Amino acid sequence: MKWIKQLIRFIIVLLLQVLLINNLQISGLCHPYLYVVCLLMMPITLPRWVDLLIGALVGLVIDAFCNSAGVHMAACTLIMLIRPYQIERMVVESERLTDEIGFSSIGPSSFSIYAALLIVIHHAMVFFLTNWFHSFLFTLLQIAISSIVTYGLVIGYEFIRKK
Amino acid sequence: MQNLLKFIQKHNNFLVFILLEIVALLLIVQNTAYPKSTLLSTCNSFVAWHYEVENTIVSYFRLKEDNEQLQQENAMLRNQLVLYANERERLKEQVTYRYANLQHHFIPAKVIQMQTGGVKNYITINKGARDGIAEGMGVLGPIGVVGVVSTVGQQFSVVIPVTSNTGFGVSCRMQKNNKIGTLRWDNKDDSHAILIDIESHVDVQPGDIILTSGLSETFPENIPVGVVEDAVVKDGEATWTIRVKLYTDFSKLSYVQVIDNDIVSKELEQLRSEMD
Repeated sequence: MKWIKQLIRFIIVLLLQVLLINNLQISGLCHPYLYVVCLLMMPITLPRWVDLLIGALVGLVIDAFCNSAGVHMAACTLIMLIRPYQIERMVVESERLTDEIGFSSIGPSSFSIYAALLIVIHHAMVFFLTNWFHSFLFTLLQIAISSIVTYGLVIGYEFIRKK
Repeated sequence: MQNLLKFIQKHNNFLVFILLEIVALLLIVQNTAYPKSTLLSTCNSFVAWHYEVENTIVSYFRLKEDNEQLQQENAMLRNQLVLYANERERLKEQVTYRYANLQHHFIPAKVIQMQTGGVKNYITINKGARDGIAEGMGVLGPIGVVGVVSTVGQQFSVVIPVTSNTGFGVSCRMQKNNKIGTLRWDNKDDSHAILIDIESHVDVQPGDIILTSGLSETFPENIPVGVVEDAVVKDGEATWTIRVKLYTDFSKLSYVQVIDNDIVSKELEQLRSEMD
């Protein structure tokens, strides 16, 4: 049941991402990738290598929609690797988390830091792999602006979900 | 051996990670210039279907704009038709000539999705191999050049616009003095591109019209491309760097025509094989 919920969320967020957000091209600098919220919130009960495979698969689906074979796959796999270490660092209690990761399970401040870090890593990977070393400054600006917008969207999503 | 097994057991997560990253990197390297895999691109029918549904809804809000654009194109073509009809009458009196074979035919298509504003841009259209589209065909908008077909699916294709960082250039000429240059993109914005390879002694003025040269098989001759906005000769260079304002407005692009150059290509192929 828990995983069906995750899957439904993924489908909704994916459609939101490719049909709405990808079309809101305010400028070339702003390409928010809200879909990472699905990966951020996934419970950490699965073996880690399964987590990695899920990350790669989610990335590949996004890649097909963005004509960017491999780019999102690489970025998603990377944040799925870092994710459990980050959560372990945040959670003081030794009990194992079975809920999905969010404001209620690890606390608003911990979640905010965790989300910010992973979003920046993900976006940095995506934009560097897309642009290679084509224009360093442009890429940095892209990472900064897109990360901020994605971060806002993710936190907004959490607030809406809580209500 | 035992140590190796132990190592794998201990670091299996990390090894899975490395493996996945290698796969991702291979995919990236393989698809650097343009999407090569039909499955992993927007001409995948499952992916394109989503965009098509979205486009059907969105296009209702653009009907007025599209209509105006098509009307403009219609008017332009009608003017040209009158011009050519008169010309034909005139020629008829002077010489007897045989109609040339129709060299190109156009396949109309609808833009269902577009990514612009980044370094790598592309357009997805709703025609594919089934409709006779093949890789490398030229694509025209209502007025000017749009780009080249890069990936072809069964029912959908991906088009790389001239404003994309993929390294293909369009062979163009200046209308007034027939000088040939190459149009490339400077990674800046969707409404401009750069014309290079025209020698600095050639007279180039803002407002000059740029057309396709017809030297490549992709585009026929005399398709409008854009107008010169400004031109400079950079220090130590013998050629102009000409900034061209493109006629195609990518933000309003809804309908395109794909040029089926099959007849020309086959003829050229035949000629080449005869020469060998």
